[in-house]
Amino acid sequence: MSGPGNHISIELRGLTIGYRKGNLELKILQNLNASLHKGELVCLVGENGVGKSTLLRTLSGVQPPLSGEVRIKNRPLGEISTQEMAKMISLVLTDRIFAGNLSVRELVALGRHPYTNWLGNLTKEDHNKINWAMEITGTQTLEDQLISELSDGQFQKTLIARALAQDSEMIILDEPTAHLDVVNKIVILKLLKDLATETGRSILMATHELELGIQIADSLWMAYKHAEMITGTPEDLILDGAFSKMVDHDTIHFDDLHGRFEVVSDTSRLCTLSGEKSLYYLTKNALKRKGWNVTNKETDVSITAEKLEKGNQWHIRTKEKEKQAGTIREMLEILNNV
Amino acid sequence: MSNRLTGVIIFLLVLLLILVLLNIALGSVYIPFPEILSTLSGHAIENEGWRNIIIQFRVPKAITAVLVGSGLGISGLLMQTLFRNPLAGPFVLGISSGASLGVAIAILAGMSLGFGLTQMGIGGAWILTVSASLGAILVLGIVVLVSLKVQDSMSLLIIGLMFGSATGAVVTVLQFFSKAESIQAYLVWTFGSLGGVTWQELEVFLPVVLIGLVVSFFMSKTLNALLLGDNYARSLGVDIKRARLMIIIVTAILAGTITAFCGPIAFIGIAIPHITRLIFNTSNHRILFPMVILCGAILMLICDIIAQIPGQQYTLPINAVTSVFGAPLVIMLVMRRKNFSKTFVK
Repeated sequence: MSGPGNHISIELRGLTIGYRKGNLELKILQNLNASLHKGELVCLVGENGVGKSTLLRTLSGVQPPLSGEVRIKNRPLGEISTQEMAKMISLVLTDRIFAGNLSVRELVALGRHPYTNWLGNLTKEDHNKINWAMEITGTQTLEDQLISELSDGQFQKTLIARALAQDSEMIILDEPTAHLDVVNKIVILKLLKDLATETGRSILMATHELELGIQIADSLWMAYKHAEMITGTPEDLILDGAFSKMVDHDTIHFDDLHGRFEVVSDTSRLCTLSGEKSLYYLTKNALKRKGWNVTNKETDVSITAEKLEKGNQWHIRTKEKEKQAGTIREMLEILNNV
Repeated sequence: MSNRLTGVIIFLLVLLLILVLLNIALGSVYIPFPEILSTLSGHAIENEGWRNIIIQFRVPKAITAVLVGSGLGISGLLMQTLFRNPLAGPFVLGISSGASLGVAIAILAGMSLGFGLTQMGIGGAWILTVSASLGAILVLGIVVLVSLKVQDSMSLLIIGLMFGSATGAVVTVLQFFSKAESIQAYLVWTFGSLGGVTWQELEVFLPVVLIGLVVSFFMSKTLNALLLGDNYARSLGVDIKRARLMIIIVTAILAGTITAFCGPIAFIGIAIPHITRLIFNTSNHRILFPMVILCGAILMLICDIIAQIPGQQYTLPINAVTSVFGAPLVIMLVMRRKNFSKTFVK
């Protein structure tokens, strides 16, 4: 089993993807070079319409590439049959499912399709895999519920459980956190991260959750409309300025230090700020939104945030006077009149 | 299989048996029940006329009802899963339109050429069957060719509907140029009839429908994967094109044969899969298949009993009965279940 390239699950070599209509080629993404290593979680990011879904379809063998090569476990994609692929790659898509009255267990069991006999009879091993998949995704308590009754978060976990039951080394997901609230987003991403680390699954996920992606992904594939795809460890990409390149709007700025995008305010007034850590950051955020930049230099306005027993308090000192505020809102109102 | 399911199956089987007996027992001629039982068990009875009615008419009719109900139910289920559309039925691909066209040509064009089917007696029935089959096979051939060309099932559905309209139009034109009596003969055929199938015809009808049912049961694993949509199904190793072709052919054979022998029986094919899903609240084809077969046979037998209006000389058109009796049943089941639409899509 050893040998060069065996730890690489998916490899893209000079891959160009898109659509062919007669003699015309509509190229979506060109000259892609990247690899997904075993046990890694990779986030594929890029703005809407850049071709993320087309790339995922090409990698899962649905759509033929225009040129270049996709290698799955060091074999050309074109040489792998649909049946073999089913045991190597499983999908989690945003497609609607035409059966709200399937139970969670029945849906997860469909992942065993490539392994069961012509009737779809489940063996003891199949049941074990299904149970394991539901357990690891925390869906075993839902097993008899119908999927139409599930919340979006529960449904997404069920889809991941189905992909796990398919027992493939690779899982490809298309925006698995699309309709989820913040907590569920993190829960799903954490689950995927753990699956990669603990079960050695190689996971490729198209997502818009750039900030969460930076935190959990082993590697990012960043696709651009008019430039080559860049891949690498999130921090390396930050240092290379790959994120600033993503946005060519004046109003958005990528904060390298915190790994997040920020809205740039038009006006900028200066003030000094001191206070206890969490209060400091929240106050700074609020000030920023209102067009105030915090500086270390001597300024006309200085703000001190204090945590007192009766509650929080903000002291706002200007040249003429000093005022107190009990909430950030009050503080901002005072500043408005400065 | 859970105990509840086993219980339901046993209940339905018993119900089916009772309905088959009732169906044979009731008719325009009153025959005492003990006489019917002894005839069925092979004993001789005094009244040779009764024996004739039972063996030559009522038994084949009951068998036909069972075949029609289960066959149309299964083909409706196949189409609803293939197209992921609750409004799909056995005839969405234009199978019955093709059969109608064949029959229309035989009756309408045939009459104007001077050999009316009515004068041909028994042979006439076979001509209807053959021309209906030819029409259905023609449409099937075109649909199969188209299905190899188009990528997604939804386009196929639209194309099937268009075929239906086009063939319907041709029939209308034929009617326009025909005499009143031949139009009536054609209309009577469109009412549908379970009573016209003879033992001789059953020798063809029965095995074809049985083969269709068995083959479709073999496809239940693939159909379950198709519930997830083409993309998921492909990722599970399903050959989508081949699966689609198989489903279309089996549906066409079931629906085409039934239409050829009994005319275009409406409603049952769409309603039975819904009724079954609503009662058992599942989309799993391994459960749905036997249940659709049982429910289809049961509903068709009930409809036929109603159509006979026991004790009367008249027989209502079976198509009218299936809708009048079936529609309220479906409405009742749909109303009882909240969030009905959710049983289809997530």
